[in-house]
Parts: sequence; structure tokens; C-alpha cells
Amino acid sequence: MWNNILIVDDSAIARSFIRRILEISGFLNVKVVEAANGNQALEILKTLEIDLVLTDLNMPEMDGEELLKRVKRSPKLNHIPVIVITSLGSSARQQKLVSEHAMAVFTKPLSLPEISQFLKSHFDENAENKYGN
Amino acid sequence: MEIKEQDIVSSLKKSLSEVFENMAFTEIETFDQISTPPPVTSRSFAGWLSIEAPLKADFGLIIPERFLFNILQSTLDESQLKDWQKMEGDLISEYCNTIAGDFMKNLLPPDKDFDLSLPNYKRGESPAYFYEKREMITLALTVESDKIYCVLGLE
Repeated sequence: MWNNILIVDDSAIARSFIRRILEISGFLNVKVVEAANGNQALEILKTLEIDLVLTDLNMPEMDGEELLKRVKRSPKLNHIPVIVITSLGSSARQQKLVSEHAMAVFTKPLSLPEISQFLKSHFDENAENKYGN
Repeated sequence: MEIKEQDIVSSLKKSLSEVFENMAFTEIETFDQISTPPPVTSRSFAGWLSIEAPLKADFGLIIPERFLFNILQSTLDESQLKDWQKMEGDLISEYCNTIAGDFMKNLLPPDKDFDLSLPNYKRGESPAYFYEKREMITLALTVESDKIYCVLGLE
């Protein structure tokens, strides 16, 4: 079950778009927390129990790839799934991010049906694993 | 890397159409290729970024404030709309980033990597590259009675 979702993007409007996608996908009772870059995200991850990270790639200060690496290197955080959302959508880049343990990579402009379906199916899978239903 | 102008223009049109449909919830009515971009007025925003590899270029958009406000109104809730003026630059930056990324993805073979700089924006002021003597591709778009311009400066 995902209770707390962290959205990381330097663009406030992009964070709003992603929030809207979560609402449309039915995640109405989920607490959504926002960060504007990887550094802010790591601070939040230290203090809040986050169940899923949705991060942009191209950001100032600390980009999404560095955030992904740090999360996956940390024994305390590496269980948290990280989804990368990027406008740098070559297949080579996507494969690299998956090899760095991104749960998924979505390319902008986001396809609402595609990301919504993915989130719903993994939310159900996650709930089953957690509660053994 | 040799890329034909015709391929650049068709990739740009495809990306502009896709992004305006997905992120502005509207369709582009007309595309016209023109020789130079118009000056950016005080009622418009310019957003731009650099495409750093493998094609060296500057990519920019000119969008009227009225159009940006309409999109913000349909995207943000009331509490967020209080800060709509802060969000206008953010919105044109996000359009630049998404369109430039999608354009490169359409233009290049799928295994070819590319890089974009972070976007910039200004109200009422054109980016310097608009005035440089270089090969330019400028598209004038009509979207819901507004004129939007897409300007690609090639090196």
C-alpha cells in the first residue's frame, strides 16, 4: 500500500501535472509530498516514510539520476521504488536508468492512460505483497 | 550528423502537436514556416533552452500570457492559482523542455542519446539567439485564436 508519495521536479507546474495524474488514477487518500530537486528529496526521505518516489531527471542542484543512485545505494532507502519521468527519452538513457534500478521510466509528454495503468497495477501488487491478500 | 531541414520541420510539428494535445489539452489549427520570429511583447513570454548534443541548437517558444493563464486555470486548483504569475514562467519552461525532448526523440534513431540544458524564460524579451546570424527555423502556430511561435536556431 502506498501511503506517502514523493514527487521531485524543479517545475511547480510539472509537480501539479503529476499530482493531477495521481488523483485521476484514484490515489485520493495518498499523502503527496513535493521536492524541487534531489537534495530536498533526500532530506524528506530521511524524515518521512515514503512509499514511492516519482522524479524528474533534468533538475538543478541534484538531478534525478543522482537521486536514484543515492536511494538505491542506501540500505535504509533502497526498498523504495523510484519512477523516473524525463524529457530525455532515448532508449539508451532509459536502459541505463533501469540498470540503475529505476522501477520504470516514463517519457514526457506523459501518456495519462499509460502511467495511470502502471501505477494502479503496481499499487495492487504492492498491497498484495504487504498484506498477503 | 547530417539532418535534412525537412525532417527537422516535420519532427518539430509532430512534437508540438503531441505536447499541445497532452499538456495544453488543445489542437494546433495551423502551422506556417516564417523567416524571422516577431519581437516578444510585454504580454508574451519567451522560453528557451539549448540542445547540447548531438545536434547543436537553441530551441525557443513565444507564448502569449493569455494562453498560459488559460492553461493554468484548467490545471491548478484555487489555492495554487493565487500564485499564477509565478507559474507562467514555469509552464513555458516545462513546454520547452518537453517539446525539445520529444522533438529530439522523434528526430534521432532510438538508441542515440541527447542532452538539453535547463530552460530559461523572460516576459517581454527575446533570447539573444533570435538576433544571431545563423540558420533559423521558425514556425508560427495558431492555437485557439492565439499565435504561438517556435524558433529553432541551428549551429
